[in-house]
Amino acid sequence: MSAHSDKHPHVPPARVYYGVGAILFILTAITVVTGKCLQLDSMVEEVFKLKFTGLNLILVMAAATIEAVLVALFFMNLLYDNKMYMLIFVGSLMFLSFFFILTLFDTVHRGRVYAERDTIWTESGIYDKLRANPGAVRSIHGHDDAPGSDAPGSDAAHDEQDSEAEGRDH
Amino acid sequence: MSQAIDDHGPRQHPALAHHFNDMEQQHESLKMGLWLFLVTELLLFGGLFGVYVFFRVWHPEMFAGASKMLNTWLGTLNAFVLIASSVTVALAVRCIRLDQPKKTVWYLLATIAFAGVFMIVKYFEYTHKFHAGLFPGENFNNLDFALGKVEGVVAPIQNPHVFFSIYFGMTGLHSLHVLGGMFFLTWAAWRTSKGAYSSEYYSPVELGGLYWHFVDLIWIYLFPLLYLI
Amino acid sequence: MNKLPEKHFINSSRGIKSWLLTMDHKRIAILYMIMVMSAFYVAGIFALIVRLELAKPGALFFKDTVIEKQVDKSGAQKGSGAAGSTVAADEAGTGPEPAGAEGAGGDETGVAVPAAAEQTAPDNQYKPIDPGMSGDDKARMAKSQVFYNKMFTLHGVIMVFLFIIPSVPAILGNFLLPLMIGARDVAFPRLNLASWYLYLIGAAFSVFAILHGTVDTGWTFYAPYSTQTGGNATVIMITMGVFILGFSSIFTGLNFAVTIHKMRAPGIGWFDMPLFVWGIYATALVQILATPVIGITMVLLVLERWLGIGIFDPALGGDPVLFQHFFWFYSHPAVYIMILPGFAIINELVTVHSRRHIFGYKAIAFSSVAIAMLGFMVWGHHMFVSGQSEFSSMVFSFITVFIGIPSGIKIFNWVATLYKGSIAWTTPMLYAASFLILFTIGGLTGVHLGALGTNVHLHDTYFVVAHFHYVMVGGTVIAFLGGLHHWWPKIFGRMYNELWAKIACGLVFFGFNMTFFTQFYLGSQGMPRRYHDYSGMLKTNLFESLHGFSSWGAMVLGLGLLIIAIYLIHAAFKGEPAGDNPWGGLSLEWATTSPPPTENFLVDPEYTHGPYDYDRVLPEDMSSETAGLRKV
Ligand code: HEM
Ligand SMILES: [Cu+2]
Repeated sequence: MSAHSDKHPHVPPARVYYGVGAILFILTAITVVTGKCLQLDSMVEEVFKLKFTGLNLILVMAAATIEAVLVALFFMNLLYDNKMYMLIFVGSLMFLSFFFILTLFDTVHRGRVYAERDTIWTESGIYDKLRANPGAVRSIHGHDDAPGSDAPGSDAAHDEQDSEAEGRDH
Repeated sequence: MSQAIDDHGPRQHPALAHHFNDMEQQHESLKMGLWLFLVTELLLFGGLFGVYVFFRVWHPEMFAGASKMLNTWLGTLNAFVLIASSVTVALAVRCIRLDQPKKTVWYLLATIAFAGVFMIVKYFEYTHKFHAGLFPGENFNNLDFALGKVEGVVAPIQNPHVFFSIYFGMTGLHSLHVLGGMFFLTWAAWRTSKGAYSSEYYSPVELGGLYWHFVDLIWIYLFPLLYLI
Repeated sequence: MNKLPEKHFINSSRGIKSWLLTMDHKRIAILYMIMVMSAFYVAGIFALIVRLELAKPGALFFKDTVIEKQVDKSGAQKGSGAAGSTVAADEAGTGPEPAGAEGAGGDETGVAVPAAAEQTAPDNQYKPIDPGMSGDDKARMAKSQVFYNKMFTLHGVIMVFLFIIPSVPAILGNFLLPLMIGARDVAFPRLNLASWYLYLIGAAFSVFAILHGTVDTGWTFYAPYSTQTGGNATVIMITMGVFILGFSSIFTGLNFAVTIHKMRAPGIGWFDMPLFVWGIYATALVQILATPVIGITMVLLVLERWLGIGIFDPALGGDPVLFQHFFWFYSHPAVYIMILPGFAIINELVTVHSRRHIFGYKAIAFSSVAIAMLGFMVWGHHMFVSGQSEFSSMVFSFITVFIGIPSGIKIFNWVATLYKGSIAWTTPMLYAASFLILFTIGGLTGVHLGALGTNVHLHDTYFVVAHFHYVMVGGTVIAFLGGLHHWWPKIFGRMYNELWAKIACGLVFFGFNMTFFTQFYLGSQGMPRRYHDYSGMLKTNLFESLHGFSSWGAMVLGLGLLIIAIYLIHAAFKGEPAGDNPWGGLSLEWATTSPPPTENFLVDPEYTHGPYDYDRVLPEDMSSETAGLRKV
């Protein structure tokens, strides 16, 4: 048609967007299931006799990252567009990572040499005030204050946690 | 004296501003401007993600415990809603590039509707937190953690109010962005319905779409970080 | 005899509305100039007040105030005085007990050390001012402290956020950038105007806080002072002000980056631009990447103060050192927002006034970008004694050393450019030469401060004050003044009085060195920063003579700046018409009339030669009729 639209020859077909949307739905479902219902660390230990920590975290973040990349490449059109925009976006992530990494160099190593320089983490005074006046304190269990029938503790209890939480939320 | 400069030649689009040479240059400039704006947004949110990371590395048990208070199913619902809205807005941009403004308007309206659902769900989540006394910061008014009354949380955990400060800070800022996006897309839909955009000139629709995808991107990370792990 | 063009951007339309609603980058530059320069002179007055207080030991202000008995009412104010003076104590880390804390001793608010403890301090320590001081004297002392804290806070906040950050980009950058790349305007003229209004709103917030008058946190807003001292409303106001000013700065940077990418006239490649543009480009990158973080920091600070969210306040589970990370992640790059435009100006001054091709174009261009990038990885050098981990101190100190390299590259390139050039000692050239001397001193002392061991001795002393004034005033402000003198005839089409300009330049140079060179010595001898009174310290006598000299220097510096204001304003209205190209420059802004027409050029500009091709192009051949080289 006009000279302008010739310069953007690539308008992807609609099924690309539906397809990407479907993948995003599936990945989100997977993250919810792994995040809430599976204990990957202990499962791997049982089956493969290998000790890992944080497998859930890794899997969930990996899925989120795949989702983010899909959104950026297809929905935000980075795949077909001027590569300058890709550079801008990825570059900014790099600077953000400088901030995280260099600050973590401080926060994780605090108090290694002089223990007294470690971060302060004691219970804040606001909880004392709450304890002093229990009448005004609210609770997640509502006013009838029934802590629930099944006892907390085991792995099984953890699995049921969500249905519990669901029951509480109206 | 200045004819040579102000005159863009015979076939110029009315939306072309005087200081650009052609629509291509104008569109590219606007798009680059928006990408740079998204960079600033990313770093703005980045500060909050930083707070999250630093405190989580310091106090993982507090995060694990306090996050039990969030309602995963509502969070999941919102994740689905935002993804759906991202699909519709992408289709809206596609349609305007193919010169189908009618369809564009409908897709934009669908996007806005999804955004509305998102905000309503957030409203219910927030009020539920407030009922339980789970306020950010000093106003925190709940002792369940200190008394060990939360199932699945073994030891009493310290200072859960910090988690809720972070939760409300991050989701609050995100919700503000959702609202901003809703207003912008509403305006774009209205202008599209007035016939302002076509395949020759659709910069506002595309920019609105990019911004909306960015809002979705933030939620893609916020959701698992706050609700799932 | 030169004549002004008949029609130019200043007289093209009239009325206040045509200025306040203008989209013309040149007019917006002038709007900025008015506001930013006012801020500069106002903050200068606060600086003179600070210097006056320090000229002699002992409190100067409120010495003779009659104190009415108002124990209850003054409680809050005394409290903030006590906490304010601990600003210095705590930041000094290893420093002495604050000499002024006694002034508010015995006050239950704030963090003052109990009076009894101070009285039994061993004799070789700094003594409190006067253990037997009467209650009224204490109240006066507290008043004096609060006043001093306010003065240096106002000076710092206004100079940094209202003057130096917007100065070069928003005034000269705005005016020159489109001209230099042959564009009709910046990419987003509306956003450009919006930035100016944001600047006004941000400034209004700050001014409100100033008039209300209880901000005494220093320009750094360190938690927990900023979460405790002063009035709630005012600290929130001023942090909101900084947030808004930040967005003004972001939008300026964004606008310029897009302009440079997309608006260059046909034929002008990346390496055909004047280096001024490269400097502004690097600045824009830093503005875009760093400023949002100060934005979110200010939001968190407001929330901390308002809701007690427990991110920075240790009493609520937060971590005050984290605030410093957030703050310096912006503010170290921000010192490059301040200095890179200064570098940018020097490139033009040294070439035009010595008629030489710039030495090492690409080295200078890339070193600007390298500084911008590296600048994001060194912020921890402000926090060596803050309690951050020893490991991160080592890493930050290590990276800091590298940042001296690109700055050094530039200095050598400029000197090499001048070598064997035909240097004309015009006023802009005098400023460029001053810059080379002063910035070298500032940069080298920065390397001292970046070394871990030295830093522990020098941190929060006057050595630091001297260092950053050498880079910010000796570097940026001197370059900015040089740039103003260089482009004043282009902006207003009229020339200033060269003789007065040279006298003022001399006064500024000598006044500046008198003021700040002494402070290197003061600092190395242990004079702490942010103290209103140094009586009772070990070296009071030495401090007195040095401080006195420094205060006299400040007067000379102030006189120089005053003269500059007078003759520049006079020149803008009444000066001799300067002609299109008074210095014989070759970059595109000299290929249009002075002042330029609203559309910037009479015809579409053409790329005919590089901006530094003095070896093959004669300046006489530049012509505004062709917007490039005169066709022969
Ligand atoms: C050659 C490169 C530089 C190095 C290695 C350097 C190093 C340092 C270090 C280590 C400090 C911290 C001192 C302390 O508080 O203990 C410092 C403070 C400071 N520097 Fe620099 N610097 C350099 C260039 C600059 C430039 C170009 C500027 C501004 C235009 C600047 C502005 C400042 C300011 C404002 C402070 C004091 C901040 C405050 O505490 O209020 N520096 N510098
Ligand atoms: Cu620094």
